[in-house]
Amino acid sequence: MNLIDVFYKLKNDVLLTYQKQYPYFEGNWKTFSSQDIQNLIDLIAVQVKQTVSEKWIYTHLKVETNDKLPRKDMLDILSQLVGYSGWDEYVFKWKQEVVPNVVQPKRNYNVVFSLGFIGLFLIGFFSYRYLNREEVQTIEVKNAFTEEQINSEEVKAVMIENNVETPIEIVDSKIQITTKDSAKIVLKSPYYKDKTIVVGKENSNTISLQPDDYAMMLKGFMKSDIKDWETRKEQLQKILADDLEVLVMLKNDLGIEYFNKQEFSEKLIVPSVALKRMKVIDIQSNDKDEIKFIRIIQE
Amino acid sequence: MKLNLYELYKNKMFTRSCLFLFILSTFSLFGQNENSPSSSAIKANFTIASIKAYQESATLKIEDYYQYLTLLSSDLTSETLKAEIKTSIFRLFESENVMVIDFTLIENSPISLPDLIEKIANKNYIFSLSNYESSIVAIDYWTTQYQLTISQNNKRTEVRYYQKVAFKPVIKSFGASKKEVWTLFLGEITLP
Repeated sequence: MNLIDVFYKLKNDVLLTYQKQYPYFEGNWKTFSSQDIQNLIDLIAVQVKQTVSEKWIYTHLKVETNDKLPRKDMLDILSQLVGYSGWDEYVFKWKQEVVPNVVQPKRNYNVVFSLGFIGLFLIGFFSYRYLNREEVQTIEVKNAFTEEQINSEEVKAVMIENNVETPIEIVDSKIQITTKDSAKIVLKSPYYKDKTIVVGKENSNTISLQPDDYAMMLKGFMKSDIKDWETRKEQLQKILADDLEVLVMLKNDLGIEYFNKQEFSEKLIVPSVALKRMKVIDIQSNDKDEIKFIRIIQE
Repeated sequence: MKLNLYELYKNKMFTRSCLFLFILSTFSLFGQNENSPSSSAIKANFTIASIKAYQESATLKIEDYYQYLTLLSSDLTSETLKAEIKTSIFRLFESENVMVIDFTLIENSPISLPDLIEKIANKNYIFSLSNYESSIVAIDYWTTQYQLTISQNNKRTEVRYYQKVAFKPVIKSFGASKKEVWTLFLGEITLP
């Protein structure tokens, strides 16, 4: 019985806690919908006063099998949600629950066996942690031109190891990885050109992302006020492809609105209320570097 | 003579064929008329949750409309920009000549959108919106009611309007290609 098994138990307890709040949910992690994920994020925010990203839930909870244990701070949050002080207590309590079943036949030796079991468990636990300790490397992500930090919300990072993709969280323009050779990190953003690096101890501690000029201009236009609208109109004509397709995803992915070049340009020329509620998540360009596709989330 | 009889036979056959095709096309047209309302009906194509999401998106269009009106009525807005804003306003509506409410009159009587736009020029109105409520969905539209606060020279008026919002599939051009996409349009504004 290892810690991954304890984590599966914790996942099950999280589901039971969720069902207490949402009794109509009768499924499992496989059938856990995007709306359920949103509800769970809200539940954690209210009960534990912590935030868990949708991506994290998809990566660690929704999957049927977990190859490795998630970060300790995330395990603490889930353990607190199900009523424990943290992951350590959860592991401890769970092991205590298991021990009596194991030693039941020889009740006279309960204490001896329990202590022995706990002792063995602790030795096993610390040995496991010692053997599996990994060197954590922190890499800063910067704008190649300005040398400034990037906005963490605008860049997504994924580690690819043995053809398995694992999202990496970017916090304060930094990513933390355990150094393993042959793993790749891919950084994607609507405003920067994609970048792939191979992880190795010789890597520098900075990744520079090259901005996409037209995408950056579009970002500026989306934040503009009415000033300079004539210049903006001219430049939009240049940076947007004639066959531009803009997809605006409505709340909780419940619908899509489509805009063509003319319609989307007009929204940017005279900035509107709707424009201020739009967040670009994907931009694609054609051979002439003109923007031909934009995917937006309406917040 | 034989030839003439043959031609007569051919003409008869042609007339019968035309008659058959006419009847066939009439039936098929009736069939389309019967089918099209359900295929383009909102409820037949979207879940209640989706319809609510589109209704929420439509409120942003209503806010855009009044923001554009605020800019249009400002005496600081240049004439070239006003022309640009008018285009943006008309783009929001299904028809340019839609009837709206003339809030400049106490009677709140109906007025066409182009006339209202001309009437409020340089009058410095400011609009704000609140308390949106969307009604039960009809085949291809719903009604959104809202409270509108109109301010002008420190004078404030509050009114409640009904706004028709059409939601239907339209053929939209993306460069050379065309696609049928469901689109939201603002419609007629009336009093409760």
